[in-house]
Amino acid sequence: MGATFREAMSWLHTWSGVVLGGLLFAIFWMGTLSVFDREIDRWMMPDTRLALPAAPAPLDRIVDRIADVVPEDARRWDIRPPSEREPMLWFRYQTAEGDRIVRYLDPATGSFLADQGTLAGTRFIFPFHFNLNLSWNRIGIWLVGLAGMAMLALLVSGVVIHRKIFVDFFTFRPNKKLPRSSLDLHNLTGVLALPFHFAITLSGLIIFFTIYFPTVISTVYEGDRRAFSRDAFGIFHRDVSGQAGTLGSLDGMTAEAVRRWNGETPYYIRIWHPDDANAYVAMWHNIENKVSLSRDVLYFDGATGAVLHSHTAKPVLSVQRFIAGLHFIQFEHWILRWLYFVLGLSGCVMIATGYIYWLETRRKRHAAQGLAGVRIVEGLTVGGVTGILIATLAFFVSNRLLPLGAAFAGYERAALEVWTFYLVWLATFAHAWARPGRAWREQCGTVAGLAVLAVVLNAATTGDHLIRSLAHRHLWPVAGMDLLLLAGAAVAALTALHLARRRIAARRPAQNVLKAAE
Amino acid sequence: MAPSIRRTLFLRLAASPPSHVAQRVVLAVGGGYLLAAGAAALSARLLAEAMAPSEATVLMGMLAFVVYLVLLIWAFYEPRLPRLWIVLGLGGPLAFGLAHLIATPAGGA
Repeated sequence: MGATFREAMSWLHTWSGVVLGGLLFAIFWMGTLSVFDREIDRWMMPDTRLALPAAPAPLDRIVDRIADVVPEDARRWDIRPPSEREPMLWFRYQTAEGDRIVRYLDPATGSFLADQGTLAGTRFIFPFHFNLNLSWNRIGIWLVGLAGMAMLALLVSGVVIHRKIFVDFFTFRPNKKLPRSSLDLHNLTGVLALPFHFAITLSGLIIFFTIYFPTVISTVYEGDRRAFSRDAFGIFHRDVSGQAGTLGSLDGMTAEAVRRWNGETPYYIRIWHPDDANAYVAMWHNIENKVSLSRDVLYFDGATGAVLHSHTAKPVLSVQRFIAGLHFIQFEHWILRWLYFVLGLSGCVMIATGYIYWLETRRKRHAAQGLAGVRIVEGLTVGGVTGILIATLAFFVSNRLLPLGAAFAGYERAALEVWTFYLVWLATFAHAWARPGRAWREQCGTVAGLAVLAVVLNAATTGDHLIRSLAHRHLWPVAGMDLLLLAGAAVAALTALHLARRRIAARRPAQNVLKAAE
Repeated sequence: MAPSIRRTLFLRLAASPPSHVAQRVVLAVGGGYLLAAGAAALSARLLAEAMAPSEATVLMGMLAFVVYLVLLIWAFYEPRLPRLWIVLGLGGPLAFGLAHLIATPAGGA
């Protein structure tokens, strides 16, 4: 039975990998970058490269500044006080029409910063990771869910088809033929990081259980999903009164929250219809110092500051929030953050080498039988792997080339950056199909060139070159991104060089090749 | 069951007509989802008698992914299509439909 179960799993592993691997690579790549989404934000929004002030401006002063600028009929304000990774004050409001507008404020003075004209890491790369930025009918989030389930099935089937799982820890033969060395690397990254890959995929799905399994909620609550939100998350609601009101002191409410939470500060504040007599304020518990992505919350009356409602998660939900926190890594821990990044990259390598193994074991046979499989999949692989790297780098480069306030054909700057990403990505697929055999090498070369260009452009347009950014603590996110870009450029350049050499070797007479293979 | 039936499974999957592979994929992905969601919803409903309803909901909402994963794996291992049809093709919609009947009492919501 064992052998045949293995065969069934081998079939499942091969075909779900080939069909969904491209999507999985995109999700893993964007997820890996999302580990440093705030740092990408600093890089792409030069005005927010601020030092965290010793004494941030009081919230009440911030509220005054906001009230001067934001229309009175705004439905909701969201405020995220400054933190180590996000030194400016993040503010978002929802207009009466339902549009959401994000602005940033200087945390020391409370004045508004100029619109940075970019979605950057937290609003393009991070959402791409979980919904592919396809919000229509939640199709993106469902595709990611499908890919996530496939990833779990791939991991299970991958373990089953293994014959010597322990040996794979120590086996990498880069000098063997390509199918062998790519399979070694596939197994090495797959086995070594298996617990991470399984935990990160399952936790990613569990974060969205209310979306993926809405039936569970509606069956228990007989269709009343709001009742579940009240029970589980302590969601509180109060209608607009229609009477004008005055918002009380947010600093006073914060002090009360800190007192109740034994010194913990709120990390997120939301104010509903701030200009109404029925305004109310929610404060969510700090999450920087714990794994759990806690949603424990305190509600205040907007005018008086009296506590209206408080909620602490029950045990099972606490487990769910812990699992979510494990995935989100919003807590402060730089070593773990880097480990997540490296393990995320190992997932990317695992997916890419899986494709290469599939391609290289079939190349000769498909060519002999006149099958188009390898050519089609190779184009998808090149565009899906190096293509998305190029598109991401083009996104960064366009960010440094477009002046603030740029607009073209009715699109604003932020949209132009996004268009750059998608058009360049599309072009990499076209290139991959148009130039089989050369596409890998040429795209690796492009990755190296664009990454160096991004570093140069950052230095030229912001003055924060590496010597300067390394010398100032608050510019370390920028330095980290520049250094990673340079490291990535080096790896890509070496790969391109290696591929070029192999191509030359392949053109030599056959006996030389035989020698080289030994 | 005779081991030979299973032994030829890989070859059968690889060589079986596209329509059989398609059936298997649809039953696994679609039927498996309906069964996992339906079973999780119904068991959460039962559990809600013994624990806080929100806790039962979260618990089964999380376990549903594991149930779905097991069904997916099984759907590609089970060599006999009719059995897949009964469990996933029939059981899935049944469990899901029953859960939905409970979810919308008296045709409301």
